[in-house]
Amino acid sequence: MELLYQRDGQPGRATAVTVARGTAQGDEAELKSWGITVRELTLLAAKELQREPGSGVLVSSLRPGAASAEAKPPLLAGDIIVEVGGKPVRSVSDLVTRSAEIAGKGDEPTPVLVGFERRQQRFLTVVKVGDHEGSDQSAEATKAWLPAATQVLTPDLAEALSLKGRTGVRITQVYPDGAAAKAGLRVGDLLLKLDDDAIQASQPDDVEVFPAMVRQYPVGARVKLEGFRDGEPLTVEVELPASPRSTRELAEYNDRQFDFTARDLTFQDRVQRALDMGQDGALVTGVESGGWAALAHMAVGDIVLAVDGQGIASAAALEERMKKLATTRPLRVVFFVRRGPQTLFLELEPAWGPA
Amino acid sequence: MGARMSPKTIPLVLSLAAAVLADEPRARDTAKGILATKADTVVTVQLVVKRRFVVQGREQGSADQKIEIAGTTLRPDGLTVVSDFTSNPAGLFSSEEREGPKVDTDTTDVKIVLRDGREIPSRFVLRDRDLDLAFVMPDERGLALPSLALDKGVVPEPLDDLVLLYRMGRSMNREAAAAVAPVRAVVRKPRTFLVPGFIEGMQSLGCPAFDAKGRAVGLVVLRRSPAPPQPQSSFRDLVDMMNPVILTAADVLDVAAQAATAAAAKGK
Repeated sequence: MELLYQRDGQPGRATAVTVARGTAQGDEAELKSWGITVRELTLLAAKELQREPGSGVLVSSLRPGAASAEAKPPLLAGDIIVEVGGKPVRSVSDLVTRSAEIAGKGDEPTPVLVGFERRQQRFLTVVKVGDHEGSDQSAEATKAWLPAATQVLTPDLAEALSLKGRTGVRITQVYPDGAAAKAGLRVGDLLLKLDDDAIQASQPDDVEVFPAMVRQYPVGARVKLEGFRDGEPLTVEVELPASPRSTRELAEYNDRQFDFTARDLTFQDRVQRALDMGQDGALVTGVESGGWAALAHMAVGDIVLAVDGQGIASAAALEERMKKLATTRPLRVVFFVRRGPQTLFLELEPAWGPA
Repeated sequence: MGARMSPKTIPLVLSLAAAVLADEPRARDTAKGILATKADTVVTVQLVVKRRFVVQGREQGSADQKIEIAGTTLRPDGLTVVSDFTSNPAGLFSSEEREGPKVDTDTTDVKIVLRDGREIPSRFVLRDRDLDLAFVMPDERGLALPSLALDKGVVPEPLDDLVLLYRMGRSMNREAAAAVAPVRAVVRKPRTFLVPGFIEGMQSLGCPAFDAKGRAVGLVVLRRSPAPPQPQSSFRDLVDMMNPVILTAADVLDVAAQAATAAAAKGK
């Protein structure tokens, strides 16, 4: 391409050869074992950063608490990773390859020396690359509970129910076959005292006050609840059973091939979804956008009932089934899930990675 | 100017004082014996607390802090109990249910530090936030550490003497210490708690309490009021937010059994 120009009043002539403009930003890739997303340094991105294309990899975002964010110094969005474990990194594929080599060394996170550039300075840090468990995986002690749900008796509600100035809770649900139901408690009952102690809940924030009072008792304790039913005084004695397992205690299965997470169903899951108490399955708790599960329209809240016709009773059974599929690598995988009142088949044709 | 004591009260006070004075040497002797023989069962637990400050769902900064707390080893395999509050004081000011700024915390790099300075990498295996108990288990199996056997079923009465065994901080060379203090009250509901003096109790969180016969009757924990403070709260309500109490051995052992089960499950 010939160019004519003027400089200091004098005409000039130059020849330029065009090149493909390319995209401003490279495709983004997620490195879960690092807790970062990275981008290729395209021609334009490199020009913006006054660098050569292919001279590193741009960190585009970090997951708080993950390996890169916890490194000292931590990586930041905008940093350019140029070296990992003494080897240069020129592209995202270089970084992915290095990560795979590091991850293959064992189950524990591997500390690796990372060179990166920030504002023309060259830094070194150590990133513990690998699968990071949440640090504190402690279980919760079994506690006493009242198998019923409640709402706080706010001042407005108390006044409207002719209990002006009183504090406490109102029963909103009594769980079937539980101790509260057996003791005769009903939806709408107003509870103001527990063993002669006023239930000091009056603001929406006080939702935990009554359950916390109950949790102070040992499992099996017999307590007296006082309040009102239909305007009449009410006194009920209840033997407090042990609480069911909480969500926090359940191990989560993370399927990296199909990019979803699932766990066992809890008592609360069954109550909130009006499921039969004997309902089995694995509850989907996360679906990564762009993953195979997302492409098959799997959704958070789905209950996986079967995979390729084989029943799934728990998250552990799902994990076992998915591991088996990873070895047989079928062309199609069919998930049978429950979503609300419906049941659906979700069909996937995954691209199985290298064996 | 001072308050007058009624003639009827004087004999009662004198008899109480006499009883306390009579018991004092015995409790002190017991305390000396406990300090000499049981001090190794009270250990230092070192951990890093990671705090993330979250406002309207967005992280607004974070901080890591290495802290040391006291704990009591209950089994030779190293199962050690601490006050949950001391392992995560910020938890007191954060609630999932309440609106406003939250502090998310996590604990890492947990170590049991023995008197000889040996550090044993460990992890939290079970928490009971309502009873203020948290249990730590060493990663290493087959340990044989000094441990304290709690005496189930022994509940002292008000004004009985207690011996509180505790371990001081780094500036005091993590030395073991003991205090003799009377039971101020026995609370029976919602479960049995012994109430020691506030200062003796606060310095002994996570540590054992013994009766005058040297029996380990329970563990010092922090009891919190289930109701949050209100603007109209009285001074007594505010003080009631945090009370050091002694949880009975029976209650501690009940949760410790769950902790041992949880630790075994994690070890599979």
